[in-house]
Amino acid sequence: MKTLTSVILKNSKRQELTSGSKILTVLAFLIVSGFLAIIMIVFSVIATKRLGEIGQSYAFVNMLLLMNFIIVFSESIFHALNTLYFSKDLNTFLRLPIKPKDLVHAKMVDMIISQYEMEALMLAIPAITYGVITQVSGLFYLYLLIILLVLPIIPISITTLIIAIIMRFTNFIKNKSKVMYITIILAILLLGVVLGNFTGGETEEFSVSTFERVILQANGLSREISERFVLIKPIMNTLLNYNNVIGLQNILVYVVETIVVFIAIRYIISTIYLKGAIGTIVNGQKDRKVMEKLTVKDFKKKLASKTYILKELKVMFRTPIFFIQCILMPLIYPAVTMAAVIGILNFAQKININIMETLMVNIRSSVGYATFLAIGQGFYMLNFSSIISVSKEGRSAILLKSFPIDLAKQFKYKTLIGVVVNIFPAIIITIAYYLCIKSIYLAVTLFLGLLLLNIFGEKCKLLVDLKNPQIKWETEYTMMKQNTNVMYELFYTIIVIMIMGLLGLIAGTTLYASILLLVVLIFANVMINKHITKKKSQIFAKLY
Amino acid sequence: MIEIKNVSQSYVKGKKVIDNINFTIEDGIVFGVIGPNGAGKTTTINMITGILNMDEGDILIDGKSITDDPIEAKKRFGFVPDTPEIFEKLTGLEYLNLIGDVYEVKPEKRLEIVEKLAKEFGIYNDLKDRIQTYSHGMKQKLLIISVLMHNPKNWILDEPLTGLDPKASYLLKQLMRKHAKNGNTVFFSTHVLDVAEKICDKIAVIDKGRVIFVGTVKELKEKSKTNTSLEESFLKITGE
Repeated sequence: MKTLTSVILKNSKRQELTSGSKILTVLAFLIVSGFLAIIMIVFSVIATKRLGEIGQSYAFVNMLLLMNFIIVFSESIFHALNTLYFSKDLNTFLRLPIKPKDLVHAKMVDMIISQYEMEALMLAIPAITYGVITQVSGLFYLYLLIILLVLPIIPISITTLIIAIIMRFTNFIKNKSKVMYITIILAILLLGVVLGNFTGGETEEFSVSTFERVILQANGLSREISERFVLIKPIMNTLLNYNNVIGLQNILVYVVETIVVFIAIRYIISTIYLKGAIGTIVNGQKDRKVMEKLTVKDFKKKLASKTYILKELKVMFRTPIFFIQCILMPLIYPAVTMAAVIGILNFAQKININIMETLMVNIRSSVGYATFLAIGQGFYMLNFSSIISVSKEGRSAILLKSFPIDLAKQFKYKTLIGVVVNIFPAIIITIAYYLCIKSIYLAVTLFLGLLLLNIFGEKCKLLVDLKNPQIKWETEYTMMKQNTNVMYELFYTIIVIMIMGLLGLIAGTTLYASILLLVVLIFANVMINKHITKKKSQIFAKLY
Repeated sequence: MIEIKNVSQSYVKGKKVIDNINFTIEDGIVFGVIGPNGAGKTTTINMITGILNMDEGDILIDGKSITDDPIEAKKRFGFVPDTPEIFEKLTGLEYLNLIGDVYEVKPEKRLEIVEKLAKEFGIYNDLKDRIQTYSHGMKQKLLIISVLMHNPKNWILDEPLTGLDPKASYLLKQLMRKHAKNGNTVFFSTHVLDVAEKICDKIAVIDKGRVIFVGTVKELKEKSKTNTSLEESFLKITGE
């Protein structure tokens, strides 16, 4: 069991990089991680202090635990599906005399360990910052360490069980993408039901009156949160009561709970796993049927450009992880953010805090204009379609180079999906800006600026992908998850935001800012287009 | 005709994997390139097809340089790579249509060739399935059909017989001979010396990135002073 676990862990590590790109990647990783860590620390300091002013500082820790729990839950749907059922190593492991229990154990441990990286950033850093500010004792950090280790186990176990049950009954479907889509949708629904039953059913709706009531009690908000999410109530109570026996009781309860859940679920999955896994592999092959006779209608002629773009779309839509990460999420994030902003503004108004009044002064300024462009860049960053445009094809991307289609044109076609998807957040941001400042001229120039930033950014992303194409992957999911290029998106975004802010400051007035930023963006686009046309052969050189 | 002129390539600076190779593949012949593993066969093919940039030299396909006039050069050949990894999310039919559109093949012509060859290769009933459900051999067959569909003058095939069943292998060898007989060029790499001996008009032996022999099998035997099999001559000339 131990050997198998270590083999699976090693196998799931990132791709081998060349020494040159390894140094660059490590450097980018350090810069990006450092930047994210700083953001998390700053955010944690502000949140802890602000909540502390109203006697609710511990609510921050509860929110962190809840957020991490939700992230692990949602991520583990893809992870479990790909690790347990669509991983190529199954072709080897299923032929070996390995007990299903051992295989399931090894794969679950792999999934759990892979969450620690995210937890370090999203839970450890902010929780430690909270600890330093509130001057907690060493016991808090000890409990925190235990929580970090055990927190992903229950969500991963529950999701894995749900996936295993669904896969047991959907593996007869030959089309793998269909299986994935069905499983993901069913898993989300079932997970919703499970979590729904584990949240406090008796709790009242979180209204303005509830808010007013809990805010008056010391750490009332955190208690309110823990009452609503009973599944992680013990760990919430552990850190709140770290300095007394209740903390110890709660951590013991949660650890025991975790061990029991893990062992029980591992056992259940072991009994149904093989049929699901083998079914997926076998049904990935063929069932013999006679196809209808082909006619000339099956061979409609299209322009090479159209057929190329259609191929890109088909790959995107027929691969659930690509569709979700590259199309669905970039559309959902701006919509959800917009709804959240409106919600917060409304709620603030209800409790007599007029945030808009303060904000409007800043929005009307040149920095405000640049900030809206930067927000656009923030949303563009969440769109991965161009940064994986070559890598997503796997080794078949190499074949594209033998096509008699100009490489610069292929470059353009490959960024098209990203550019089109990004138009949605650009529209939302423009509408929001127009509603704030009511100037058609500024709204139109902002939209043009967002469009230019979008086109330029997508080209930069593809340049990164071509500089370091990651085409030797095992599954689409691992390619997405282990793609070191994605880090450069954040790095690029940081630089763009800084430049936008700087130009906004230099411009002085909004009118000048709109002109200056447009000129800079047009210049950037002209330069990048020249570079692509002139150096296309070198740009594609690493793809072989 | 494919002309390879003073071509060199080094992945790592100073370490040449292809060292100044020169040879010409005339029209009307089947030309095989043989060599031990890692000798540089696939690297040479990748440079001919424009997949890999060369450090020095030039490659001409029917007089068009793959470096200076890549689009025109690429229109003049069809390529089957050594690993049949093709867009797995497409169906076989969609892939053939992609190639048909890229090479501007008329629908009637596509139908005629696909119907004939897909039936002969035994993948007709699978054409509307996703390529991800195909076996290695089926993918190889699909790639071969896609090349034959746009009927280029020059065929460039990297280990084309690997993974093919005996019937398909026989069929492909027949097609290669027929294509050359019609005045076209067939350039392929193989490590199966029997195949090279049977169907090649000319061969090139590549070893450690250098071309150590170009000529007919008979000439190779004479040069290596062996009169038995190509295998023996090959081992002697490569010093293995």
